[in-house]
Amino acid sequence: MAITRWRRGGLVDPIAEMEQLQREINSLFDFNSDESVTGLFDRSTAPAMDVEETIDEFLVTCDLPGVDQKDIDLSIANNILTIKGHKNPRLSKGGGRVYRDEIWSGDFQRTLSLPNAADPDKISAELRNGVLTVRLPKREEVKPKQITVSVK
Amino acid sequence: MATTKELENKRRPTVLPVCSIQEEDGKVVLFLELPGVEKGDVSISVENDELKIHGKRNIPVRESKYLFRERRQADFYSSFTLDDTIDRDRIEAETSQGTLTVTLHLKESGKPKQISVREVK
Repeated sequence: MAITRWRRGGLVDPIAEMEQLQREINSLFDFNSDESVTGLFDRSTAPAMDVEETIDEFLVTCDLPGVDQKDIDLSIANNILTIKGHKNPRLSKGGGRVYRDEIWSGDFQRTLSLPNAADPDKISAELRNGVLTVRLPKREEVKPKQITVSVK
Repeated sequence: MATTKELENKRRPTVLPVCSIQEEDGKVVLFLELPGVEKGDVSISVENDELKIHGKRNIPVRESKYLFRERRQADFYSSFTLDDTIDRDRIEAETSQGTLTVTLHLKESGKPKQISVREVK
């Protein structure tokens, strides 16, 4: 809620204030509300993802079928990874008869706080067969190291 | 009769892919979302009146620990019943960006026909 509407009137009505608060709390549970204006980051549509940790990297895998590479915007700021983009509708508008329309289209966004061990400067991403794979190598200093101790 | 390949596939769980179907210009186009399925792992067959689409998902095996796991680790399977208006010999399929597009052409006899009316005096 970026902008709160200015309510005119000089007197503060405590009952009206309570009612307003109740409406706001109720709207938090209103999952069917317009998806473009709710949610912390203004999008309620987020793709499912897997996050894996291997010895030397973190892997984020995300299903984005039917999304063009140019429509995916991947960014890191303050160790927060943001995957956002747009999916174009698959069916041609005004075309023939539609028997089924299950494929979702629209804007999506997902954010992920990265672990401190991940190095944001070495990020790489790949889109293959509608699956986005983001690789985040770990920082050199947190990788397990083999130290050889020579005994004299 | 189930072939060996089908039996092999049956061991893995399958989910119904998300699908959109549209009829346009004498053809029926099916769009199925099969993320993570390679071109060679899609099998499409027509048996009698049944169109079967199976997509084997390539699940990489690696030494890792899941911090969270939300994607379903399953193959895709879907079947459709074809009626007599579909030309069985002209079925085309292509994949791009994890979406499979199957084009079914209608038979000439199945296309809508305009019949002109003569006026008899």
